Amino acid sequence: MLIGRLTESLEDYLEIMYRLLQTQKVVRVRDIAREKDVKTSSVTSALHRLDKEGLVEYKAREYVDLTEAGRSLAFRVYQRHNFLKRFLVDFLQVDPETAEKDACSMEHAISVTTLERVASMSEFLSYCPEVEDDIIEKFRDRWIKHLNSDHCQCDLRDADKCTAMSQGEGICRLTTVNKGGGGVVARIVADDDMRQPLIQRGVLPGASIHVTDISKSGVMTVRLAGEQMELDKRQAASILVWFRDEWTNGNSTNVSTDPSVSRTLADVTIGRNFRVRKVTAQGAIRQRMTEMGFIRGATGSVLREALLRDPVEIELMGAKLSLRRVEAAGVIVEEVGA
Amino acid sequence: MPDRHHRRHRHRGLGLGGGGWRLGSVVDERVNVDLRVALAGNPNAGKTSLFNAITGQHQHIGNYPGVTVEKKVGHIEKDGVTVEIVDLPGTYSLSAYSIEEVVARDFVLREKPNLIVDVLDSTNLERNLYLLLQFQELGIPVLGVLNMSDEAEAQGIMIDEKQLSTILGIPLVKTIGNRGKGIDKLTQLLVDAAHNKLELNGRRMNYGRDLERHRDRIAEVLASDQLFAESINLDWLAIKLLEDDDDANDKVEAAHQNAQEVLNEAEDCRQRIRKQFDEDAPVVVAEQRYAYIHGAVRETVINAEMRNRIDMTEMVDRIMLNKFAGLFIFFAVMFLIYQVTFTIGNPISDMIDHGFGHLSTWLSNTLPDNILADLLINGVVGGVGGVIVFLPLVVLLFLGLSLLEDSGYMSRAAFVMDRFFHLFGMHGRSFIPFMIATGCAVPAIMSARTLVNPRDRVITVLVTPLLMCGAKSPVIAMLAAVFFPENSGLIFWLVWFGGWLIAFLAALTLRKTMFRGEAAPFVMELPPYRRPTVRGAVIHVWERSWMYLKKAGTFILAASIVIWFLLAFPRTATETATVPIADDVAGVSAQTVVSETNETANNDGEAQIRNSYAGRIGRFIEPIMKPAGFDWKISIALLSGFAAKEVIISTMGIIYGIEDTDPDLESSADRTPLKEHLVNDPSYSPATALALMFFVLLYVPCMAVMAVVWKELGAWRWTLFLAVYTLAVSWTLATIVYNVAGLFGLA
Repeated sequence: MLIGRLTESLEDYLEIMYRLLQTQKVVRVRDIAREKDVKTSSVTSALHRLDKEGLVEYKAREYVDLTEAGRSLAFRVYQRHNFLKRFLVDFLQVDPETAEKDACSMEHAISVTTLERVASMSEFLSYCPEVEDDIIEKFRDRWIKHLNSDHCQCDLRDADKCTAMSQGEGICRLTTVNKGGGGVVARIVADDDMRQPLIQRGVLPGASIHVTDISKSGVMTVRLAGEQMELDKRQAASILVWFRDEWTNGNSTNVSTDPSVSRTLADVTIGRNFRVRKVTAQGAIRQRMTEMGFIRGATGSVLREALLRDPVEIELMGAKLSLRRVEAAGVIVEEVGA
Repeated sequence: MPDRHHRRHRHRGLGLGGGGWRLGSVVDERVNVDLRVALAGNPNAGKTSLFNAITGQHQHIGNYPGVTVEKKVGHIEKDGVTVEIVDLPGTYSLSAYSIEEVVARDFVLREKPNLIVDVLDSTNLERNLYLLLQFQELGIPVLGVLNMSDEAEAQGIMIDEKQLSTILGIPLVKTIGNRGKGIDKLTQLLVDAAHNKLELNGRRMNYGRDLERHRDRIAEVLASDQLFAESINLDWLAIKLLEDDDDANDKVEAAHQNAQEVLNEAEDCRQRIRKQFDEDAPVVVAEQRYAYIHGAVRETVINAEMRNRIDMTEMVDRIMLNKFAGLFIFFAVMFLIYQVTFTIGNPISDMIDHGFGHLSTWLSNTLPDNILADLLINGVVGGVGGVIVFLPLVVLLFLGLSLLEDSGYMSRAAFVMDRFFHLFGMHGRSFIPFMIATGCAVPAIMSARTLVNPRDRVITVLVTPLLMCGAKSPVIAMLAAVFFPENSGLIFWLVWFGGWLIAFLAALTLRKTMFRGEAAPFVMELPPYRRPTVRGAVIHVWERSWMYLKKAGTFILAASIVIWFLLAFPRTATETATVPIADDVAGVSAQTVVSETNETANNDGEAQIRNSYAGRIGRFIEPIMKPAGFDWKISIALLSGFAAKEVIISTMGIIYGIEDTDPDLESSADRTPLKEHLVNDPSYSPATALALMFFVLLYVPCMAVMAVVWKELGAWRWTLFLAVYTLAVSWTLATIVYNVAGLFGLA
């Protein structure tokens, strides 16, 4: 049986049984119930369904076993999990915890075609002579660890002069793009402090970006995949755009952007009210923000900003708070008028 | 058992060490205490002024989040019972987010007070109740204080305290801490509690079925280690684990038998909550708390939207925090504080200086000519005088700072300054230590505890000693006044500004080299403006001044005596030199000092100094100090400055024997005798003075600062690093200044 035929949950049952069988001889219903944190009755009903599919042998007793077909399916799911996790950790340098979580959801959803390509990529990177031996080390050491410098170590002078303008194609810094111009996001050359909020706001490689306005102070208003947003000078300077002549007349291709990314608190205009939807920041900063009252549905208003736009002062729950824009970018909000 | 648990535990956020929290008096005094109370609450809830009002003990009141880092203990004795009250640092929650939170939480967990008095800001009840709920979870009885009830009423916020008390299941009392209202009632409740007459049940909020199910599961696994289970409230810890609290995770990992099992279970539960609520578990927990609070507040608080009410804070902030005016106001405020401090303080200091001069003269005329009298006159009187002279400056400076803190302007200043501090890799909150360091680096370094990220903290601690402090400024001000009488203000300002510039550059360098990585969160509250009370300011100034005097008393006096010893021993052969420094040394020139041959009877004092231990050290390091233009006398003074910077002046005084001042020198009223000596000494040129000013500003901080740095960062290597790098920076800069100034003809 192919993966994906069953529901995610049933595949999980098989995987759990397979895992349990690695360490113990027999699997009991309550072992599964404990592993999956469900009532034994749910396990029983799932097992009946799997039994019907011919994947497990279950005869309303305490013990249960995998059939040959079930074992094969479970094994494949299990292998996928391990492979995907390895790929995330070894190649993408994701931390093991996150990789484990992500692999868990990917294993069920990923198509064979994509899985094959991921495998190809992994083979290509690991074993092809064209690829430099230390490519992964370079990726990790230069790209992941030192995002604050130009990790590509490529010459950005062309991007600064935006010679692409005259050549009709090439890489430009967003700050060199004129009003009305644009292209697709190629790279973000910035340290983590700036890079992460930008990525969170949907500035991802391949997203179309067009300059609609430039204020005197250098604040750029852009349309990113159709959504309007403001970028300050530093942010704009960190975005490298792949520029092409024919794209400048709004003739853009809408390459994938995450539609769920909406306004963040950093984007709310001064003097306007907002309602909190979600805090996307992580760790200590999230803990602090939730304590301070950034809770789904809480309303407040943006009062003012300090010189050079940072930090901002807001009112929330009847008290005044100040926070940096980077932090405000970790709160997704909706504007609710002035 | 709790000890085992805590000793093994090290808070992750404090990887750099201590941040310590000394137990001491509390444990000893517990014997006769009937009720032990922890006073807790959010920053700015008026906790400290309430504490003062209850206990009558004087202590620091501030308006800046986290100003109360030190533990303060007070007592009430009434109706035959003794109630002990410990003032906890202000916190927003009991997470392991900042040092204050860890201190507050560990105190409650470890000392298990009989009662927690939670001070609530009535104008900001919801956020304040968030902390209260967490205390209830710990299973310790809580008494709520609705403080600032006058402000709330003025804002149209009416709280039905009886109803709220019923819903929360705790006694509530309304107070106005800074005006002492409601204090009697609160005190009476505490006394009742000590008599077991107050009903204090341990209700706690309900997290809803789903969360509680997960909590119980974790608690069950936690219970598998019996010893551990006895040491801590498991339900509370289980919730903390659901919140993925670093400190809770560490606690389990450090002390639980089946740590891995517990952590797995917690992780598992968080995953499930995430799936079920489509939101991370910590957020779900916080949302539940706030949902409960909203419910309680909705039923008990009427917020009459007053139509024409003017939000004074907002009105003022429109100007104070205006993009451009804000910065201007900030600098104006700083300038004002310095102007007031020095224009009023300096003349008083001069008067004290003269007073001690006369005292020495009188003593040396009265007392017999022996070594003890010499110790008294040159060591003790000189030392004490050197301390008291600066008291007016200290008092005025701290008065200004106290007004800024109590009015609520301090956090505005952090708001205005953050962009700039952030540019140099620091946090807007680094501003507080910087600001306080302009008074004294010792409390400044202690105040750096408000910085959450250890990296920010270390950087701030390492650079704040570079700033002009209350002890360096008289030395520098004196040099400026003596050698640049026309432009002394400008020169002083230049050095003052130089300190800031170099501190910023040092911070940036540290951030770019030794402390790379993400910046710490900045989120903080801007409290409403409040009129500083006279009492608060007086207490504040008194405490700071007392701290200064105590520090001065121990360190400076001791240093003075040590320096006197180094100068007076070994005794030279000449019998006339029993009071070596008392002789007139005004005629001593640099030539006679350097040339070893010229030793005649009329410069016995100088000979004594030159042959003394201090002189030997000074002469030994003279070649090193020469490029900066410093001779051995300056070197000795600088050595003594390690004890405390202001000692530099008193050492110079001892070296020049100013206690035995020529009466005719006194006739020029505006010049102290020491200044006269300095101007007449050819080894001092304006270039030397300028180099010396920068050197004094930047070189190795005084013993007290070093001790505090060591204590706060818990590592000798940082203390040592501080000494080495400040020495390198100061020597280099002084050398450059000396030589460049020489080129401009100042030598």
